[in-house]
Amino acid sequence: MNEILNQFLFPALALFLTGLIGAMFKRNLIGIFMCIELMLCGAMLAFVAFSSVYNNMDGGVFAFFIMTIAAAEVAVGLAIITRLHRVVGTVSTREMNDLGD
Amino acid sequence: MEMESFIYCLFCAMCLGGGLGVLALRGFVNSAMSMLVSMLGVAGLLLLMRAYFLAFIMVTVYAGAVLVLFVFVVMLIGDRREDRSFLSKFMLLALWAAMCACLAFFEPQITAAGMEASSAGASLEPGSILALSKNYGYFLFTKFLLPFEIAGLMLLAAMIGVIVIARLKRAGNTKA
Repeated sequence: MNEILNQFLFPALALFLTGLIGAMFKRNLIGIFMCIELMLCGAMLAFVAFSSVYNNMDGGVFAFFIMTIAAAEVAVGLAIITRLHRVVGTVSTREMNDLGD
Repeated sequence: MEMESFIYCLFCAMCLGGGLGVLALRGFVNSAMSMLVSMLGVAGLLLLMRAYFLAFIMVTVYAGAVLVLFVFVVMLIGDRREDRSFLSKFMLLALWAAMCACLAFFEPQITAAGMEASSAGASLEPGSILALSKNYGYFLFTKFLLPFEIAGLMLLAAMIGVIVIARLKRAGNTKA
């Protein structure tokens, strides 16, 4: 049982940390957004892993909610990104430094 | 059991490889395709956990809707390559490799400690409750009714918000 939890928590944590590294270090808004999606996926995998091992339904249902949140977040975020691209003319975070000049 | 562990390794590699691709590739479309690989890996892991319904939703919602939305937006704003020096890419890869190594080394111990701390009874037959789609509906409408309603309200709010953002006039377009 411990081994089962281990073998499913490893990809979950790896996916979450991959997303975290990407969200910190990537330089375009779309990439950062994809990495946030990866983080959500990792969290969902961990939920389902615990739910599966403890034979409890709560984690599975929360995975459902995580997917809902991810879908809504992507819709709003990508709308903001397209809007920002229309106004600023770029999606690179290096070039969005107007306040720093 | 051999077969299952082989499939597990395959899906794990898809997860991690896709994540690495999202990190390291510079083109937007390349990153999106890597994310697709990663999502399919996650769906496979969900299948291995006997969460068949969640795996199905994962493929339809993530690999279907979310990824298509990403590719659509990339089409709108134009594919371009991320400006990045070789050094920062190398640093990214090194960071990722260090993270994976740390995780593979420490994660079993952390999990073991957590399992000791929580003395709740765990089943020896994992995932049997997740396999039935009927359970999701039952729990969504009994124990999680309020979160379910809130999620519906949130989706409505997101939809209205997206429409409002898309319909904004070009008032803020004075920036040079």
